[in-house]
Amino acid sequence: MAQIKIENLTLSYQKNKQILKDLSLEINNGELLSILGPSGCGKTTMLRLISGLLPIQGGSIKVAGNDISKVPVYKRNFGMVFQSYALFPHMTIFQNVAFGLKRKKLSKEVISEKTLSILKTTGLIDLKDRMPSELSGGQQQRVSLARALAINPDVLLLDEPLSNLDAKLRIEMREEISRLQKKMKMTTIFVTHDQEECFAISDRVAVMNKGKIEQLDTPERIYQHPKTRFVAEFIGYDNFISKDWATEHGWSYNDTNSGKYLTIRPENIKVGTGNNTLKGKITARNFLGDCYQYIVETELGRMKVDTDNKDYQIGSELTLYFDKQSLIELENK
Amino acid sequence: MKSKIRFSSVIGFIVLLLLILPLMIVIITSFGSETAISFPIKGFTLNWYHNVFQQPDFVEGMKMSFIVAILAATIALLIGIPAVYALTHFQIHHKSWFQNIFLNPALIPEIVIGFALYQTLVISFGLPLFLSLLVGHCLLCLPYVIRLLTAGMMDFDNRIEEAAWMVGYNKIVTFFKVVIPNIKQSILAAFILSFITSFNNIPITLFMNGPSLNMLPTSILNYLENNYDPTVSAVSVILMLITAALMMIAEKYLGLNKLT
Amino acid sequence: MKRSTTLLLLPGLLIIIILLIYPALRMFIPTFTSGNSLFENYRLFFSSSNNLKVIYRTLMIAVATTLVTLGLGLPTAYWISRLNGNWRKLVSIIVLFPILTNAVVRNFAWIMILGKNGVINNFLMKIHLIDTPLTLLYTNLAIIIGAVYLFLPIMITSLVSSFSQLNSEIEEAAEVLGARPVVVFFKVILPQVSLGIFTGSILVFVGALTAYTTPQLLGGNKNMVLATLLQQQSITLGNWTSASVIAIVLTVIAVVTMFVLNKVSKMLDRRNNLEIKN
Ligand SMILES: Nc1ncnc2c1ncn2[C@@H]1O[C@H](COP(=O)(O)OP(=O)(O)OP(=O)(O)O)[C@@H](O)[C@H]1O
Ligand SMILES: [Mg+2]
Repeated sequence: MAQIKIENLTLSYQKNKQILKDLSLEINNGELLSILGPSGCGKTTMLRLISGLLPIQGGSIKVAGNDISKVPVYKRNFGMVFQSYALFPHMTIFQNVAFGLKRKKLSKEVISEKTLSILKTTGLIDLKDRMPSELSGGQQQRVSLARALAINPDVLLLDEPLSNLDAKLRIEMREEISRLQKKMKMTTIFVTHDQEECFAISDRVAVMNKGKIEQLDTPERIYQHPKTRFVAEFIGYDNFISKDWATEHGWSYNDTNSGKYLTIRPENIKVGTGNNTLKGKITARNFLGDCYQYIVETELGRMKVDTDNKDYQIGSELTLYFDKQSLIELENK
Repeated sequence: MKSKIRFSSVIGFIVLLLLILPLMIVIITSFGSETAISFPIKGFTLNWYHNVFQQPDFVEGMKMSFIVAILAATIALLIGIPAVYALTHFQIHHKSWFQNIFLNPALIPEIVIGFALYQTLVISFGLPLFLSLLVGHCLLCLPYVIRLLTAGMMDFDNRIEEAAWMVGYNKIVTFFKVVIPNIKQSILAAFILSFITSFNNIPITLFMNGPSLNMLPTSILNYLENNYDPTVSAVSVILMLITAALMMIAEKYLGLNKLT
Repeated sequence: MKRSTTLLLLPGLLIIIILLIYPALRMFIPTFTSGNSLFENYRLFFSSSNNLKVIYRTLMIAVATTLVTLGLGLPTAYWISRLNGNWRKLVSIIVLFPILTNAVVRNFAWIMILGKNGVINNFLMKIHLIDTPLTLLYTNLAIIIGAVYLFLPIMITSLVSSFSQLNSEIEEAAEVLGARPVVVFFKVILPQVSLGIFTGSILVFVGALTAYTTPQLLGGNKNMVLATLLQQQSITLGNWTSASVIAIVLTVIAVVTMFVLNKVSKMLDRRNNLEIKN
């Protein structure tokens, strides 16, 4: 129904300062795609371009094969959940959700029926006569989602919808979003800077950096095979080893591309001897709940090592062992 | 600490008395039975109120002042709202420059505005007196409208407006269904202040009234030149009642601090 | 600029440009071009000792009004800012009501008070302090009293809003350190409300400078100020050029004062902020 194809999108708010640089991305019909990236990388900007709230400056956006740059916001039939909720303060919850339906030429009964059904699915039925100011943040969040869903949108755009909620509510809400999205089979773009959140619910993840997509893959692929150093760092790979150094010291690793770095997750570094080892001095120990993390200063810089062993002393020497299978090759830089 | 509070409260109390007493005297003298104003009053009568309504200048002036104030406030809003919307929503080069143009009328002394308009609009262009007067009063109201609405519009989150576009309303309908309801307090405040400003104005009105166009404040001024009787007290009380009514409306729907 | 932006701004801009700025220019330009030389009209105006007296009186009244409203307004506003609840509300109503009441009404009250058979003279004669009425009305003093009555509420309002933002902890801290109340008021409180003082003073000064009704009603024909002179020259005498010159002089004084006071207040404000930060 609504496959989105973004090609060579560029945008700048001020002259000489490009926020989006030749950004291309394809989102399949009915897919939930997350945009993951640090603050200020242009996620909201991209979402606003797709929604039509910002005019396109360069590149194109096609929905189901049609260029939409000339279609005004209000004719696109996209649903959007704003980070600040943006509920209509002068309307009840019921009116907020029904507002979009009222514009369509439907009878009063049908509007009411549809609204009530959405309110039921989102668990808001008891709140329907309250005003937005009388709801908690999480409830407002749900109203915002219900309002976007009510118009039965072709595309659902979510801009960090969970960022203002507490940890427990976040998990509940993201499962609810995932459930509704699967049920209604909407093409969905979910913007976040929380990796756990996006891995949990996405079909695919696009990692974004400085106005560009660095990697587009399934959550598993991104987690196991980050392509660039930026992606690796963003999802928790803290240890980097230059290939030149590794070759010089006779390490064995899979060498299949022209990239310069290898990386490894903290929990995959072991303590041991032999080939593929590196000596270092422990400078700190942190308790992480399920394990201990040691900060080890080596000639390659700081390494983070997660282990169950709590007996290594700060200041003592440690020989780290890097298993060939755990060493991941980055593609460039 | 104590002495400072005591000193300031004594002065404050006296100042409040000084603010009220003169108006009290006006109210009391309006009921006095003597033909020359005297205080304290000797007898009690309501005749002066009756006399107010026997003065065609006052009755006509009241009507005219009402009409002009309502028209001026409305027109100023109709001009001001779109301008404020543009100034707060769009990126405009030299934005402060435009803002200053709109606040310009507040910079030029009212009596000078009145004089300049009279010279150009009435004498040179031959515009009807009523229209010229209305122009003057609109100019008078515009800075209030711009100032109050800009504050109101700034408090309003633009995302709310965008949310209405997203669910299918075009910009014009959204403006009326979402933006206006959310700034209606500022609109009401601007209307009330504009109304009072226009209704009470003398310096501009002075130049553009005449036998064919009576305005209440200037009618009272003219009356005072030839007469000194409690009719003026009575019409003053009526004016105070109008002010009180507007303050009650403002207090009920806005809170009084919106008016300052 | 986008077309829609232009469309939204245009009505207001056109009205102000055609119906205010253009008439103002039409008044402004002939004052230079109608004389034998560029400044002929101004030279004539300023060479009349009567006109100079009027300018002096206008300025004197505006300055006196500003100072008196400041003197009365500061303690009053300080007191109001410390009130809460219903008292505060009642007092706000008492202050706001005169602002919204017609100037004719407010000046008329003072005619009754200051007149020959007015409240004050009647009272003084009754207690035999005087036996012939004092001349209070139609004097400069009457104009100042009327103007103070007219503008005091405005001064109080702008002072109250800046007193209310005042952090009372700073004040208490100063007292804990042993400063006398008077010292605290002048050294700690006043600098922090300087913005309110300047805003209030600008409003009052310019208001008193350009007021028409008060000098007209309380000053009589002898005590002319620029505003009443302008009215006399134009409406009564039909002396357009001379009236225009007065209008320009009045506008220039008002605008320059506003500009200067604004600049000074911004400078002071910045200095205060720096002092607090350090
Ligand atoms: N209206 C604007 N005018 C000028 N610059 C802007 C504007 N909006 C955003 N920017 C800039 O564009 C860049 C990208 O902003 P954007 O809001 O898209 O980031 P984001 O990825 O959504 O960040 P966050 O995670 O903090 O929401 C930022 O550097 C921001 O400062
Ligand atoms: Mg964002």
